[in-house]
Amino acid sequence: MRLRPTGLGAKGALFFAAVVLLFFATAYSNLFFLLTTFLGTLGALGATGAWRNLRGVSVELVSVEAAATGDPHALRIRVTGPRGKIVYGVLVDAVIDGHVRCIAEVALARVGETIDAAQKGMPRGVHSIEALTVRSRHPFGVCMATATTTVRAEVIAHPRPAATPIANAHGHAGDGTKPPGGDEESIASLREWRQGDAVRHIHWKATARRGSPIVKEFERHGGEGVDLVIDRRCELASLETALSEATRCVLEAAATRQALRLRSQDASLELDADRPEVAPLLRWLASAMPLPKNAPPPPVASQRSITLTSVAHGGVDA
Amino acid sequence: MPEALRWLFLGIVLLDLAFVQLTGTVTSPWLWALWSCAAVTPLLARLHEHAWYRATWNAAVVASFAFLVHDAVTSGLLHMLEDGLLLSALCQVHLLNNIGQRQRPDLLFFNSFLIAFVTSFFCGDLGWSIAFAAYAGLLVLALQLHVCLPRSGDPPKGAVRTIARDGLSRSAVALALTGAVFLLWPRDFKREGWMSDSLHIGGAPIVAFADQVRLDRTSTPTLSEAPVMRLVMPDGELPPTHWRGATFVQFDGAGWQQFRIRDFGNRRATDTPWTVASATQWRRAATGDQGSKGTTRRDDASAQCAVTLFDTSGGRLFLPLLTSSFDLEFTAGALVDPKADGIVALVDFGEGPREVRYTVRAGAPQQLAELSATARALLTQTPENVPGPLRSVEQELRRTAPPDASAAQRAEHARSWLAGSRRYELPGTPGAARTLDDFLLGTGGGHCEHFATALCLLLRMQAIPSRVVGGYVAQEQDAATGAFVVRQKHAHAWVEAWFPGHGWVTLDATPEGAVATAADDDGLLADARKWMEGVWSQVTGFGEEERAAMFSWIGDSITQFALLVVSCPLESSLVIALVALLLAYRRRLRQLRRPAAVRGLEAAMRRLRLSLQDGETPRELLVRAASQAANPLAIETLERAVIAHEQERYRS
Repeated sequence: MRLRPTGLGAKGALFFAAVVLLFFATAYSNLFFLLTTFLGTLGALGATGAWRNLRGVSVELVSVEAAATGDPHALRIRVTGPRGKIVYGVLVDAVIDGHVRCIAEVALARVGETIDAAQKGMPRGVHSIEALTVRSRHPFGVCMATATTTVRAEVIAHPRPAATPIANAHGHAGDGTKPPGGDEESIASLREWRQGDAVRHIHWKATARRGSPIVKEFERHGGEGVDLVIDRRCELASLETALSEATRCVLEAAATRQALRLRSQDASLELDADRPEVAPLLRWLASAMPLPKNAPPPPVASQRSITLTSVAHGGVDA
Repeated sequence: MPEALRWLFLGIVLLDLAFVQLTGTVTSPWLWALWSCAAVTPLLARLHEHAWYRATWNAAVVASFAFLVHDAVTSGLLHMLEDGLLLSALCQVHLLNNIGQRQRPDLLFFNSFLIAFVTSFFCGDLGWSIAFAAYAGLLVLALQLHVCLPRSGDPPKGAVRTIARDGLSRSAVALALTGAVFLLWPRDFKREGWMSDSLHIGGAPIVAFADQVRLDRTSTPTLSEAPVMRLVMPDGELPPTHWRGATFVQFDGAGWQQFRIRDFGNRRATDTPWTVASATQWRRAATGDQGSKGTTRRDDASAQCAVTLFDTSGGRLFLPLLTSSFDLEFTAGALVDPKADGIVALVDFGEGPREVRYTVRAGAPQQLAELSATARALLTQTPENVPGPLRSVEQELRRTAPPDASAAQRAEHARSWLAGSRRYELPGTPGAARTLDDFLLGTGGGHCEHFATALCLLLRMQAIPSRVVGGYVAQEQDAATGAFVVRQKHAHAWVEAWFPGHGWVTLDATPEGAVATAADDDGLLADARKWMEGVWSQVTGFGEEERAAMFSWIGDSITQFALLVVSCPLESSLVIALVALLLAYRRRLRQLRRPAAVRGLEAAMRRLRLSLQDGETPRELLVRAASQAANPLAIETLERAVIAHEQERYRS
């Protein structure tokens, strides 16, 4: 933990020095001594109070939510330290890409509590959180106590989803709610229940027979969702547009539990319809950059694929 | 800004205005305007969004500021103080009105302390101390809330209450620590500052004997309970009332110059000189037939009076006018220096404070047959431009006095007129006169120096030689011992007039019982006030002697406790054992409140002599311990403890 004077503390120290100087310049007076002592006591209590307030306290990152470019990111921070302790005037800073940003300010926090923090909108990309710092000026604002924790986490600022759906060449015209791809499904097999499985997927008869929860596994007719191919041999502006379209597809696919494959040069990611994990796809979308025009082409598009951007069109080629 | 903080700032500014009001130096219209502006600040906050309001407010502040600066530069020192205090108060009200997004409250905090600090020089009395106690609590609370509460948005429910609770306990700690440092810190109570002569800043004024008489005091002095003398008379007789310390002969319009022998040119010009009778005794020829006038009904007491002087800082042996001799109990390390005006100076070379005991034998000294021409001229001297009110009063006295009245009768007439027609007020209190003219016109009450000055000048205008005398009055009798106790608050000024054939006579125009009346009221509130004033005067009058007495008391208490322990070993052992058990039980309770997983982890870490570093998790500690190739058994224990800790910690 580090302790340093604040601006108010520095001004207070100067003020105190002036008072002490005047005290010694004039004849001794009990009232003067009392006032000088009170001022000194406030300073001493301010320093010791700041140290005691943050002693043994640190913060740890619980979660960071990905957000569209420019949208605030929600973070959850847990305060750790001696059980039952109350920490006053908590400010939490995050070192993101080498820059210190204040992400939370709360009047008081109990150890073990989780604080809701927010990071202002960031440009598209994957930004690394290098450290979390908890600081406090409590009690009098004359000293700032700081405790830093090294963390390894990322803030994903993915492209803002496009406002309008992609017109599908294969007749799956986007209606704004569902991605292209089949949505009829039938039971493919049974398996043991795993954490995260929906209750509605439990096969009750098989569960009753075996005595442990059994769930149904489904397969979709009409295939395996849709291939989303992004050709990155284009200008940045074109790529941004394509990435926005792709982000909309990915988020809608996840929301409606549709399978989706995202392909591009040296990238192939899948969104499982049953257990949709959008984070890897969003991370890739956040970090995707244009390639030179002589770069190899993306994987060959299938019948059900949608190709976004190309050298020829320089825009969406859906 | 959170609403709670806004109210606290308002409280601080109102207390600042109270500090300024307590000094009594600022005229009411200005202060009332500031009080009103501060009080309506919560309402004015709604108008902040309007440009016309901001423009009007700022224009008014700039205009007031310019006027006050101009007034401070062009007026005298007295008004400079008034203007300075007004400027500070105006600044506070302006800050209060603008604090928020654009204005941080740092300046408000500093300025408020500065106002409390500066006003303590002029009115460090009980009222100021009560205001400061309230201010200290508000300041600590406001600082904490300012630091803790987020700048935007409302604080969570209960947060303000929790912080306020913490702030109150911290205020108590701050005050207790201040008190402890005040009592225990070693320091020189008689230190002279290296800039005292230039700055002329002393402590808060108190009523006490002084080498000067000034009429331009504007701050209310503290009535100090510190004892100065104890007077013991045989067989319950009453001691003389007026005990002289200095005489003042030349009036400069705002105060009096002390008697200087070089002005009179002769040691026998005004008073019968003292002669050394022995190593410890001084005397002067007595006639034994002199009486007294006015309120000095006991000044002709003939018995011996045993005096114990506790405070020698005045550098005087206080004596009644009618003293024929005095005996000192010691003279070693002290120089007794009788002056030509009958005053006896005492220069004490002893280290530290000590009591001086002496015996006063009352009896009228042989008076001079006639004053010298120089002395008469000096003692009847009036200001070149006699103030109009003084001339009016003098004419009124001439008109109302009996046509064939003697000089003594005319003097008594003037004394009784002043005592009956003018009221008594301590300086700086509401209704107190700010000038001699105020007092003479009756528009303001005066203190003893006003009464003495007015009487002395009125006598001189009637060609009666007179002088102002400073000293103490003996009026408080200790019911238990019968002795009279003279305290600092009994400091007083009166007049001595010279009449052919009678010599010097004491005349006191101050209404009877006016000296230190503030502490002599009856009733529960008055008693409480008296008690608080007593406590506060002990604080302001705390000195080396009191500090030594406190340490002595602490030492005695420890010794007595040790003796008690030694004399009652069985009972003492029992008490010590009980205390130890209680402490152990409390410690155990504290440990039990912590989860077993945490205690297990701590024990495992202790076994490996490791501790968590900043930001290190128990799991990382385990890796560190394993990398250090420590005892495998201990590592295994630590691993189990870490797992248990993680389960406890993250089970939710």
